[in-house]
Amino acid sequence: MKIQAIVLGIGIAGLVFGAMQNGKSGAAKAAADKPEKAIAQINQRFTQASPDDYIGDEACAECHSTKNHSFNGSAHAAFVSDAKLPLEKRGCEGCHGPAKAHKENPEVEVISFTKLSPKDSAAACLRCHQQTLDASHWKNTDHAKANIACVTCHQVHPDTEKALESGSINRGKTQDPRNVVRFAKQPEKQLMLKADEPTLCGQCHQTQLAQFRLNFHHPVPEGQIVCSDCHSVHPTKAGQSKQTPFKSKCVTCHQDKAGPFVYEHDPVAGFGGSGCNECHTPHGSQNPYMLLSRGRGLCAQCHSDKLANHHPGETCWSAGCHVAPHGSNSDPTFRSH
Amino acid sequence: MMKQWFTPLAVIAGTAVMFACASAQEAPASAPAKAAQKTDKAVQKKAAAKKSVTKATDEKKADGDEAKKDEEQKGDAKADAKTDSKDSGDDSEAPILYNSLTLGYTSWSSNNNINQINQNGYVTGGFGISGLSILQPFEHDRFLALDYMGTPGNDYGMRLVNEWGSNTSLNFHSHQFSFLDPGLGVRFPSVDSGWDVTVDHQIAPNFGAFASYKYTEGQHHFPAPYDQPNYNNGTLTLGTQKQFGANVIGASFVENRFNDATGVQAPTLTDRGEIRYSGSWGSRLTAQGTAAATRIQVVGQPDNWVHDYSVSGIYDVDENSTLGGSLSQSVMDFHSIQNAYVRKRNLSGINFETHLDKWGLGLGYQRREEERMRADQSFVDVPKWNIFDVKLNGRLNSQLRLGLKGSMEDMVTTPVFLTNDPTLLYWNRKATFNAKVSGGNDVTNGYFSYTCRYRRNDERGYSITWNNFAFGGSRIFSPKLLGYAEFSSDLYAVGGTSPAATALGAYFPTSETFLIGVDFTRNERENLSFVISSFYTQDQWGQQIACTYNRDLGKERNIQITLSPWLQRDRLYNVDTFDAAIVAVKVGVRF
Repeated sequence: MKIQAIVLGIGIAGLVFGAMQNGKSGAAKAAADKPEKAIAQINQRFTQASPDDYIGDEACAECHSTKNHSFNGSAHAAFVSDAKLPLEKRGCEGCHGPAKAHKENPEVEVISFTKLSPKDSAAACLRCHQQTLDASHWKNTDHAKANIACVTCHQVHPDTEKALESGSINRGKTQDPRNVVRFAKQPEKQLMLKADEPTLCGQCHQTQLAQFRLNFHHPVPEGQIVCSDCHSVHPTKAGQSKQTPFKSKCVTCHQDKAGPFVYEHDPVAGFGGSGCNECHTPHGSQNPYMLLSRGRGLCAQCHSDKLANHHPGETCWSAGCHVAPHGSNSDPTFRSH
Repeated sequence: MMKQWFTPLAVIAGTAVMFACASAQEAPASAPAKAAQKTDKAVQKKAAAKKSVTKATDEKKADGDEAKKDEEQKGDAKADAKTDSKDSGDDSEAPILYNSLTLGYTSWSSNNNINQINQNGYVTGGFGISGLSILQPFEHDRFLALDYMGTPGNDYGMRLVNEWGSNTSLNFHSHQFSFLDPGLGVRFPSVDSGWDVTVDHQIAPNFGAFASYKYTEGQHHFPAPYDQPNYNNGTLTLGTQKQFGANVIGASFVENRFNDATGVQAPTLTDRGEIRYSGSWGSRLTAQGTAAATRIQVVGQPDNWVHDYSVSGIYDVDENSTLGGSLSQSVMDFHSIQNAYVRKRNLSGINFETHLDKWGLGLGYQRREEERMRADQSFVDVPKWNIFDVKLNGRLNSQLRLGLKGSMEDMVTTPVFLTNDPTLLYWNRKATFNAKVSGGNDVTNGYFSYTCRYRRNDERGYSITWNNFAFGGSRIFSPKLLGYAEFSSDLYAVGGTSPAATALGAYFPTSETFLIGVDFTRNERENLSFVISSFYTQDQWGQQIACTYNRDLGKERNIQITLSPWLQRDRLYNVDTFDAAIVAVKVGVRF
């Protein structure tokens, strides 16, 4: 009963607050009705345009040569120059809309991504990138909710050709001289990111970046993996989203820990709960194997009755006793696999 | 020792000669010459722009148009001159150079437990390909991109993208990397490797399909009694998706085969089928749902099944507020398991988010229930949890942002324990809180973050609190000099009245990490970065200096030199102590 009341309370609060906002947000609504802020009207620009309304990249370059040149050096250009693409997805006008009216009268604005709200900006990109994710999936991500737009991380117009080279705006925050041979699974510069992933993600997620400097860490500073190897930044076409259980991300590489086992260890049984996070700190730790604590203290967090009087040793597994803490197919106390 | 340092010194000397030659070639231009360059660049840029991406459009404009636009171009030329000064002196059109090759040489000198430094990445040194990128833009209906980095025969990463028309693409990745167990003594490298290939095809507008296969292999060498995993893993994924207006329907099938060559773990075959739907009703309501069935076959056991169902939706209350809800259920059928296990897990939640002016507020509630069974399917119990979360973020003023996040998980129905010690093993309360202030202006930026994680077990009479403080900032001291620094500290505290509380405290060491660095840009072609990073724990400390020099040699060539002394000290046993010095040179060219 108490639970239903809480749920109902949050729901009602939301509706009431929303209704209040409806009354208050006249100015916001007016702003939203401006052509450049409403994605529906952005789409209309394409759907209502005739082939004559498109003037081609050459005409755009007559005034915007700098932008045009920098764009030409990006991987994006290699795709949108495909002559078989429909006019509304080709070249400059594929993103900025038909430009004939703008050329005739510069006061008529084309679609400017710097003037769009993050929500509309993302929706405009999704006109073509629906195969990567659709708007309803994007909307549910934490990044979308935090008003992050595609162009927050991706650079469509590199400011210089140098910016095309990954790491060119790296301020050394994650630089590791062992990174001289960089073998991240997914080379990044083709993804048109503004910087290499650790630097880019670390601009907001600074504490995670600091954890990578501890003695035991996942090999991100070494360039062997990147943030998106574990974190699903975009829900993918395979339907992955943030609802994906935590453990499933770990066992992509650590498949031998996946189970199911005949004898499960409850904190990591199945794919629910904190999973591997219950014992490990994935970004970095001062303890071997990125464990939360040193030695047998890890197990004693829960099994406090085994702290001092139960076969003292450095850890519960290093002396050859409980060697299968992730689960066993043969022993209920994990003393063998 | 002489031999250890000879090679790095030779590399430095060689690089110095190259640097001197490059400097001599490119003496600073006089002011009139620079002005002339700017004018030239305007024409040059325009010509390049006309040439490169406008393959699809006809070249109708006469050259006479260029003169008419020269005045407008001067503004652009100022910006362009900065970016393209490296092309100065070249009067021909500047084509876009998509391809690049970077060769690298690395030299190591080290002593004591070098396994420590190689625990996250094992680089043998010597010559290698630091980067090779080949990009063939759409020509003849085809696009091709290749990236390769690493040393042939050793660790490497590779990616190949091939597109046919606009409808079909092939992606291929391959990688191999190795690492060492950090313990003292001779160690053989452990190797992880794998490759994957994906073919994507758009069958019709709004209807696509893909097939993907991924193979990974791990051969690990750890000292006894740790596992010596030697496994391989193959995953086949098939998927399709169709869009009907605002609705999307998709289906996928995944088959994973796990095999442990050591025979310690039984071969496992996992098949998962999933259908999903997402759609919008009107302009305000979006919802999605999935249903999936997974069969897990372990050799020597009956089949295990997992069924997952989930529904979630978001309703736009107004322009700034959303109300969301979700329901999900997982049903596990693991016949072989003998101890109490979770057979059914229900998770339901509701959340409300709103933005008011410059502030965003989120409130959420989740309810988790787990039904536990024994292998004979006899009922055990249903522990339940309530989870509340709240977040608030916004701007304190035009320069400062504030973010607050908190969540609390309370166990409201405790499970029964049938083990030797029937005391509760689950946490009664788990809570986390994070506060972050960040901001700055064009010159100075900074942040402060505090995170607290709390765990409490009432029956056992103790709690564990982990506090993390982190702060950092950067400042542009001059157009040529940027400095930055960060500090992060972890502090643990164990509270409670039970004897376990006192004993547990010894197992949670504190730690600190610190970093300070500068970037110095001497001119448009030269950059030097210097950074010191260090960490301290109760048991160990380490320091690393990395000094990197970049120089644009002109004509699309560049060089990077890295020098890095590194040391770590083990205060307890000295087994983790090491010293290392690394010298690396990379030379790149675009073509």
